[in-house]
Amino acid sequence: MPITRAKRLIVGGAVLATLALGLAACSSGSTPSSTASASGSANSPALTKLIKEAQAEGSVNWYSAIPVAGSEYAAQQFQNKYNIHVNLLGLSGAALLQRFTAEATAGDYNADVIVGTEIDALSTSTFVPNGWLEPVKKAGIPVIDSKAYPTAFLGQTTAAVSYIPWVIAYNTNLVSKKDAPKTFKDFADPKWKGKIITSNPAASIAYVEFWDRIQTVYGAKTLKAIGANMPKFDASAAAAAQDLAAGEGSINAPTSVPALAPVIAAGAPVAYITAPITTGSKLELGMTPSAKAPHPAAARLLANWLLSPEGDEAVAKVGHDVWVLNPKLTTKEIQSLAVAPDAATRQPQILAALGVK
Amino acid sequence: MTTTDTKAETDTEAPGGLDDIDAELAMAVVASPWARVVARARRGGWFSVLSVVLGLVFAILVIYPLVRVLIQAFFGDGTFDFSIASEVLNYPGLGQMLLNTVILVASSMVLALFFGALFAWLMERTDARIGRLAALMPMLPMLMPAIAGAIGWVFLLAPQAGFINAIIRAVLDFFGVHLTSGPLDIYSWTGLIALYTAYQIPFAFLMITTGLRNSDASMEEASRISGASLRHTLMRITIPVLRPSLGAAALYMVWFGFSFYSVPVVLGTQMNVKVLPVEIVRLLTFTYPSNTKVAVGLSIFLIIAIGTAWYFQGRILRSNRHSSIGGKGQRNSITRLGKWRRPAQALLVLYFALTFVFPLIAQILVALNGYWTTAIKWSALDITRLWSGITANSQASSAFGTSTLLALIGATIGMTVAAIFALYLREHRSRISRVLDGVIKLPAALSAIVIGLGFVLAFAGPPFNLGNTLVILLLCYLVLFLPQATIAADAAAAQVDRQLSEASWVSGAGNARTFARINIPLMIPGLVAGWGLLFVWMTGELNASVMLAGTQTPVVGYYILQTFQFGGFATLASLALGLTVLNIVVLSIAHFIEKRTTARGI
Amino acid sequence: MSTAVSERTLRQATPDKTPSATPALVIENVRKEFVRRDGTKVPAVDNISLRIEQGEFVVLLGPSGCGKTTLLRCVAGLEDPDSGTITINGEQHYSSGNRVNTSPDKRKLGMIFQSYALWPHMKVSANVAYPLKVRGVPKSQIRDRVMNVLELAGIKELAEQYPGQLSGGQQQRVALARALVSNNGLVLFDEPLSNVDAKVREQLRFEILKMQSEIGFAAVYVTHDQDEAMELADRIAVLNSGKISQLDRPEAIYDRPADRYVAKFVGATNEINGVVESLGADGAVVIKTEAGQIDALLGEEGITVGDTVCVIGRPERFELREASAAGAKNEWPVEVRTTMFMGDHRGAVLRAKGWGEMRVHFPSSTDVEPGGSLAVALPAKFARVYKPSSR
Repeated sequence: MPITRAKRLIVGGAVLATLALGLAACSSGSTPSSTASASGSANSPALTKLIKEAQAEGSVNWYSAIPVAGSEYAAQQFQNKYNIHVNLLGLSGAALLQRFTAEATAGDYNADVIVGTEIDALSTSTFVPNGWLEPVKKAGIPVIDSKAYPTAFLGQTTAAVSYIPWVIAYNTNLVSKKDAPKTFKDFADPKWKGKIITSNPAASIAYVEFWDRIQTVYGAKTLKAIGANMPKFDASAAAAAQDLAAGEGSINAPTSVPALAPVIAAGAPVAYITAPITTGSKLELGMTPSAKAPHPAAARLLANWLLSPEGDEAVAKVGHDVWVLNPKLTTKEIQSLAVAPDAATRQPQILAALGVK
Repeated sequence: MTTTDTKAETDTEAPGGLDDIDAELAMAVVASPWARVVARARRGGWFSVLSVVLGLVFAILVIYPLVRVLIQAFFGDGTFDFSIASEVLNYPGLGQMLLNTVILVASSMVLALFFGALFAWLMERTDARIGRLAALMPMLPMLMPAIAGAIGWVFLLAPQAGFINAIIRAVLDFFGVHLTSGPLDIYSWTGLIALYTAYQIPFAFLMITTGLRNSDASMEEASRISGASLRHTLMRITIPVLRPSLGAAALYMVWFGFSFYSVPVVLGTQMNVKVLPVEIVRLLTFTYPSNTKVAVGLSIFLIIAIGTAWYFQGRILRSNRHSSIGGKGQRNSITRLGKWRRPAQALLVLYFALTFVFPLIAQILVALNGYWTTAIKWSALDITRLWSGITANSQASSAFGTSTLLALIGATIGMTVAAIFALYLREHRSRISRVLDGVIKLPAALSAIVIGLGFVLAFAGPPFNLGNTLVILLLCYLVLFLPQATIAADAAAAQVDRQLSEASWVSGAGNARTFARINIPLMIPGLVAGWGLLFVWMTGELNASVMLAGTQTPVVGYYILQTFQFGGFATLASLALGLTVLNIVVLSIAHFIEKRTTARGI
Repeated sequence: MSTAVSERTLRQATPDKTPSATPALVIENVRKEFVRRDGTKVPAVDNISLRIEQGEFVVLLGPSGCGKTTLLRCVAGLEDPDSGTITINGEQHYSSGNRVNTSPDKRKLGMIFQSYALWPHMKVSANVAYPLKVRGVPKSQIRDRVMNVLELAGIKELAEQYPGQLSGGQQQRVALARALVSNNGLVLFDEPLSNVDAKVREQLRFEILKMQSEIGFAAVYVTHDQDEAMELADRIAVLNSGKISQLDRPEAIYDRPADRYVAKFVGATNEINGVVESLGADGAVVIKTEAGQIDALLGEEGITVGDTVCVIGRPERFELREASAAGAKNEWPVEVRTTMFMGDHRGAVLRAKGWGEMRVHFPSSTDVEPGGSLAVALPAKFARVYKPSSR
């Protein structure tokens, strides 16, 4: 992906309108099974054989950085469809990789399938050369072999599953929809001083990458102005959502729908807006080499399902994420969420601008 | 490794003292210290051999994973990375971070010693004693996972939406004072220190209570009769007599304080106040490849702090060998507080309310309402939300089973092993045994996540293949909490007069039988208290569990941390309440058993 | 110990019990050093040798810190000596030369601790049954033997009580019963009576002797109480700084102390310093003191004319009489300061020239008035001469 990544920084409003539409579409929820199934390959002999082998294995270990509720929903769908038990290990991005690599270093290959945050570069530079993962292109996944999965989303050794876009949330008791910020630029307005809730930008590289985009688009001055408006940082996105619901602040960003979902579901006065300029955490799928995976066939079946529209939509459903196979979005629209690959190099400057000590 | 060195220095520094004498003398007979240990072990029969072997096994369980982490961190590319020293020393904000940590630990320690001693004295020596509270007191803040406790206080005292603040504002409003936020703010140094103190008090209380029970009240009476004032008696008699207990309490507090994660991660992040243990975890989870090197490097400061505390505690213990009187038959004289009795009891109840009841109510409210707000919809409270966090997710509910099982087994093995060590060390103070003791206590100085990582590297793959099993979790929990277990066991062993075990040996019983028939039954009260602490810590363990919780063996701590990072706080509250109930039930049963066993004529 | 004293010890110390082929306990050259915090080594037990026959009662007597308890604990195996040998009933249990060092449970002893060391979680019967149980005595025998020994100790009715419910004296009886129940011929007592009150102490001493005569065991008994030692011992070993100053029968220890240390530790003394003027036959000496010339008897060897010495007389050896005008030998006019009625005797604090204040005991049937003018006399055979400081 890095080749295409650098090119699409500024994205037009029209494109994002569609993106928002796409989000709305998936949130309004057509059931996963009703959408286009893994066409063509559904009845292919290769898949039939794979299903049989996978069912003989009986279960599959899935390491996922997708917020737990989303992974769990998808796992349940997969289980219902194939009667194969999914052992899910859900951890946040870096912790998941820490765990995965520690196990792999020790020679304990427990994961069958890993879906991590932005893992393609690492997978290509380290995991595949070390024999911890194998390139998805060579992993014998039917939808990839049959080219049903679009090559545009194939990384060098992994395949993209979904993006979790950063959104703007506001407390509907404290801010009317009309007054709520529509873009991240609005956060620089002094009227929000002391009213912005945000997750500690130093808690994860993903936040740094997001603020990097804001700086690239709106300029360093705007970023500094936003930083001046933020009084304090929450330890996690969940804590930030909680603070917003309680009215500790009026607006909350960057946040994600999965983080907001629990309070919204509980009836908290929280609503969210998708800004035209934003980024998202890209979730990519990697495969443990079949010789080492505890359940190689089930792993391939799970990957095949996750990379086909039915599974892909299921993964994104709970979190209202952007799933890469969403037919209502163009590739370009989806890829506009990708972050600058070199964002991390600007980390100290970005954190300083935001006032992180 | 550094602690091992520190330990060795301690040994050469102070070879004297009556207890060390036979070790020193034996040196003359058998040249090598190892041969000496072996010879002594053999003399003590198979049980002593078992003690030494257990010590070695646990030392290996500590050292080997640590070595793997060090190799991973510093020899990742085959050569040693010397930049680590400068990288750690030039770590941005290091000075401020260390200062923050020291201020928090030191101030909370002083406050906790004061309140802990006050509460211990009220409970042990005055008529303000509230019997029902005494057993619960040392555990109070720990009944609820600390991260949930900290969040509970945010629910109560956040400047805008804190429940208590809202109530105060409503009251002030009635008197015509209008505030839009506050007046109290948990996100302040006061709030931070107050919560640290609340979590530290139990250690002081536990240790000082033990000390008071073992010291004769007549010493204080004698001082008062000699005409000394209460203050003079306190300074010249009570405090010197309690010095070993105070030392043990301080050590516990430094250990706990320097690796305390839950409160600073919740409050410190908001306040932009960095502390060491949170920063280490952040370095390991911020990005991958993570900065393991610096994270491990920063652990050195934890090791230094804790090693220093340990050294001073050892000195206090040695210099006070005779001032605390063991044995039995001491009567507890009860001071009548008169008009102060009710206020004193009110203070005890207030502590109970502040550390347990209030945060619990806050958590229950948030769970019932589904999210945190001061505008609670009383009509729409949903009772099922109290347990939905556990029941809605099949893995979360099985995590409760796994955690309970692990903690039951882990606490039992942990306390048994700790008791064996404590007794062995009491009888055999050789240099080697003290090094073993130091190594076993080392994990207290390391971040749990570092140890968890080491366990994966060391034991997950071949030849052990323990990855994602209950066994690796169990071993890691044992290593993590054995230091705390040994302190509890040391205290329990100190309460049993040595002559009682000597009488058993002379009667013809070997070490094993003496341990089973004499020491264990007599140590039961202390061991059960320690067991309770271990159980609570093991069910609530967060950071190592993230590395080790298996796909088939989920544990509660892993779910709590997950929910904290990316879930609803109502779910978190539900998980925390579940754990609180579990802890209370298990501790009550343990307490009941303890009472049953100690009721027999002692 | 000087050689002269050793010789005399051998001559005088003929134990009641006849030496047997296998003594109950033989201690040879046992040494045990402690290292102080500052690194200096202190010998707690300094090459002590001691042989105890079957059925013999030996008391180790000395002030605290003299090494008596350390020696006892070495015998029990609770301390490791540095060198020497310890043989119990003919079986070697410690030998630095042979690298033998058995653990306490292998030594088949009974021991009574200062703190009673009763196990609070066991009933009296279980406490007493314990040594039998762990040594694998058949269950059927245990109960009988426990009840027998409890009866002997006079506490049969306490069998079902817990130690915490008993008085100090009762607890000590239980400890005694526990130490005696398996009766392997040797019982060690570590200041067992120091925690009970005087009346009970006296009674318990009597019962210990009674039980010893009934059951028959050899005893090593550690105490700092000379009355206790006198009453219980066949022989007393007076310890001073890790060495045995004198090992002898109680009356010999009392009447013929081996040195000033023993004389002063066992019983009360009046002392006066002087210089040896002349030496006569059979140890008779004349000492020149501030109280005039004193005829006395040598208490230890190695004293010659011109030496500064110390004359010691026990309070009850002084004779109270009317002051004779001439001023007989070994007689001094005294001024009566106070008298005390002690029941079986009277004590008086007197003042005599040269002696300063002295204590004298006389029968309680006679009485003296304070302020009266009297004289005391000390027969030469009771005036014993020692070097001013032994060692």
